[in-house]
Amino acid sequence: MNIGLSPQLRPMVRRFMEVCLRRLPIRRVHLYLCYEADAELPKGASPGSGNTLRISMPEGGMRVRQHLGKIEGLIASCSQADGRMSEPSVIEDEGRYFHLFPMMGMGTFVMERLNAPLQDDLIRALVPIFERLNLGCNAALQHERVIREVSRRKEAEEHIEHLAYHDDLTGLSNRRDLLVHLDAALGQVKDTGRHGVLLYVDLDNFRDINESLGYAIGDAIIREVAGRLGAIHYQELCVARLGSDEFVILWPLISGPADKVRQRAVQLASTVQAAISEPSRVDNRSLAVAASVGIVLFSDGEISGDMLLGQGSLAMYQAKALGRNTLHFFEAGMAADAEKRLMLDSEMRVGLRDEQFNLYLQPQVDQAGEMIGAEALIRWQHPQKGLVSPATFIPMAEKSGFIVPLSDWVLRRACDYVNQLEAHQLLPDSGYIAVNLSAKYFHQADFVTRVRRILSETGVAPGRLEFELTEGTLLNNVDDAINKMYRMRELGVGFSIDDFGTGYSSLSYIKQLPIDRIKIDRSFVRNVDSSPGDAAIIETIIAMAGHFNLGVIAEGVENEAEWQFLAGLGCKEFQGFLFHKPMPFEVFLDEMA
Amino acid sequence: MAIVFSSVHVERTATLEGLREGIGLALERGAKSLLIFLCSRPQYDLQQLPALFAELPVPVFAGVFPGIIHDQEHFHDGALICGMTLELTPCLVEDIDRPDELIAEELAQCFPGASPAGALLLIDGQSRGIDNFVACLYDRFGPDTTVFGAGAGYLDFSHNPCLVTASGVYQNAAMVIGLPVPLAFGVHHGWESIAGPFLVTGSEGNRIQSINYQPAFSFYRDILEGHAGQALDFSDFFSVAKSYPFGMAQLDSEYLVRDPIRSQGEVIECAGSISPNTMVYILHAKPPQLIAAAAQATLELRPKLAPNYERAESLYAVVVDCISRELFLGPDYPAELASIQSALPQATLIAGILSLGEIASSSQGVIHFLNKTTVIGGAGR
Repeated sequence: MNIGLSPQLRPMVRRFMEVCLRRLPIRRVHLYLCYEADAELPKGASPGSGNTLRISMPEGGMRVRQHLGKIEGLIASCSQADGRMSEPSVIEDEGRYFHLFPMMGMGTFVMERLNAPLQDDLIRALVPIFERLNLGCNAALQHERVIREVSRRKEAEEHIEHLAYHDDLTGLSNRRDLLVHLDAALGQVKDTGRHGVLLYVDLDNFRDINESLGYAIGDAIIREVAGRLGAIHYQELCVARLGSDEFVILWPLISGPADKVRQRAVQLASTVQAAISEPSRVDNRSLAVAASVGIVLFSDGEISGDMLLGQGSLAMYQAKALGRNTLHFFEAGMAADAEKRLMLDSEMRVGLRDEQFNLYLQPQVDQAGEMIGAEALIRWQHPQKGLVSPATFIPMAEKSGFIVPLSDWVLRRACDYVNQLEAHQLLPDSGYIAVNLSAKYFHQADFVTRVRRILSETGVAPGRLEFELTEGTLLNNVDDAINKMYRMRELGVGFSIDDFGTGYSSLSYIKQLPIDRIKIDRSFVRNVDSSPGDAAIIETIIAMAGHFNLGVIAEGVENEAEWQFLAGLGCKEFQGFLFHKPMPFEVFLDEMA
Repeated sequence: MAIVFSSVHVERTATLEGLREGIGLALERGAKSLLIFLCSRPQYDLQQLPALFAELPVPVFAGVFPGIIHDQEHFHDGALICGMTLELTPCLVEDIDRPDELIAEELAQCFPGASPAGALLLIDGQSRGIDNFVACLYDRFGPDTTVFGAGAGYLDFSHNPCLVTASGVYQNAAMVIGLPVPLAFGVHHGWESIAGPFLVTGSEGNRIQSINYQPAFSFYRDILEGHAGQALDFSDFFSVAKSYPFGMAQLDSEYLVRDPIRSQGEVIECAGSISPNTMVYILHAKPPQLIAAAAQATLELRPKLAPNYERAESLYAVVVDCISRELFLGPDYPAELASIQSALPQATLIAGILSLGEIASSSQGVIHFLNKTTVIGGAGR
């Protein structure tokens, strides 16, 4: 008898069974092996009765279930089979003879025969064979356990490897995997002279979805978008998610002249946008998102993957700047601009460290020309470039986040000034220093804490500060703005609306906000004596402010005529070159003394 | 076997036209499907047959065999055209030497429900996958399906396509035809042990590499020359080996015969597999023993046949007789057919094939692939 060569349980046992059926006058064989109830069954084995596994041959045929029931009735459980049977036995059932061979505590081997039992000498001859089979089964089970353990470990390693190179939320390639693909693509374009295309995709206004509908819905949309991008069938396309709502699609090895490649890149980008803009059904609502796409064509293998991604990002931001849901190709000039901006950012940080920034003050006066307060205005004295305009560096600081430490510095310096002015008794009783707040700084989650800390550290009375906010800053997140303004107001900090009249000038929010005064924008003031329209606007603003019991200050007053005209309209507070220019603090001290 | 056969015709021209004519006759007799046994010499142009079969209004399945048998005569050319009373559709399984789980999956698709009462099996008799396929078929059908069949192939033992349907010509394949009626068999070979037991210490499929740890051919040759008492000429291996098959000892004292058909260096190739560690004997017989065994097979069959075999005329018993028996018996072979006929009910006719291996379910239901054996079957009770 041959028990086969396979180290796996089922093939080994079935090989043995095959030989049994060929060599012995029997019709069916079954092996019941004891097995731990919660353990995984060996491959191809079926669960038997109790805590056994079963392997049978033949598996098929009429009434097989009925027969199995009878056999399993005889072997109620493993412990019974082990404990009670040590010798072969035979049981007759309606002309069928079931020979049960115990297998040294491991289980039972069953042979079924029609019409007559097997002869005794044949049964005796079989006993040592089952001892050998028992050893084989033991070894096979051990072998399969080891194989399963190794497979599980391999699966776990593959899973870890997968996680390392794939995005957890979407299953797409992550940045690391994308960079591997990018490196390969760059090598290929270099070797083949073909082109590659990189699409940098960013969902438009996705933050609104996260903030208004919650991150669970946001994640569902990201998964939906990932699925759609993954379903775009272009040869050798690599789709990756870099994080948040940013995706990158890499399409390497495109043949043809550059203009054709450009056309095909636009086709692919349009396909991507169309796939994304298809409404999604999430949480019983239909949501539609759009995407801005930056496109980079590359045929130069010398560039790095990171640089390509940077170029894609620049092109994508350019697309967003053009009105969202648009495409934009990367152009060489963009990199130069970006580089310039990066340089500026770095220089600003150095500038803050090296005290290149200065805070000027421009007095604000009443009808009599007496100072009622002053607006703090930042200046940057660059060691090489000279005086850099705030219009140049403030937007960049906002973009890079540098505005936050810079605003901290401004606020702290303004407080220092308050202390010095008080020490010199140069600040009237209700005098203040007005500080312009950037939207990004104001909407920092810890804005209130930051201000409190600075006030506490400098010991300045909050009422000595007035924060100037633009309409845009307030409208960006009205609820947050109202909350923060009231918390500041409780401390005693004043508020004014800067550049009033240039934005929405909504009465509804003016009414809700704890505002002390509004500043009439210099663009109205400039033409007030010659433009009836501007004069009418200013008159309306003054009337409205009076209605809400708010102060009004006109900024940018440069000559006597403007001053007189504004005063004639009822304006009582002024700021401008007519009275004082912005000046360094030392000069301010001298002038006000 | 009129329960299954509506007509049986012998076609002797071995031409496509002759075959077409024979098929026409079978259709006139109401055949609802056709089973055709084609002789391998001279060979029909098999490539033309699928197109011919596709034109016919009934399903056709055919196999190539070394010879055909009809009414105590046997032929090595022509065809036996059997019209069937039922519309039967064969399940054709290709590449039968694939792993058994793939074969099992395909059989499960072919026979998804309850197993048929009976089944015909035509299989490439030179494929290395025969035993595996037969085991898979048994695993699928179980012991209550009676299976009867034959190994197809060529008289010169060349390995070529040997199964034909309207879809194509196949090699290394098997055809299973499910039947709604059970089949009955008688199985005997008449070979007896002259030496052994020996242990097959090296084998792969149907190729024996070593016996008793000695090179297989040298070992086999020494035993045969010892028995013959003289040196034997093995330049035509089969001409000697046809008289000395291997027998695998069954534990109930029977032998499962394996026919050694060719040698290649020290390797002996058999019709059917021999597993490593198998105990084998070398068998031999005189012609009268074989002829008596054929009659014995028929006597064994007779009480199992459906009752109408004893009453009706023109019912057929189907003989699947190993080609090596015919080659061994030579001019005595008609006596074997006569002995079969004499043991059958008087009005029962015989039709059949000379095969490369015989297939029959055992009394316990297990399907066996046999060599050098006479199997005679009919519709069972």
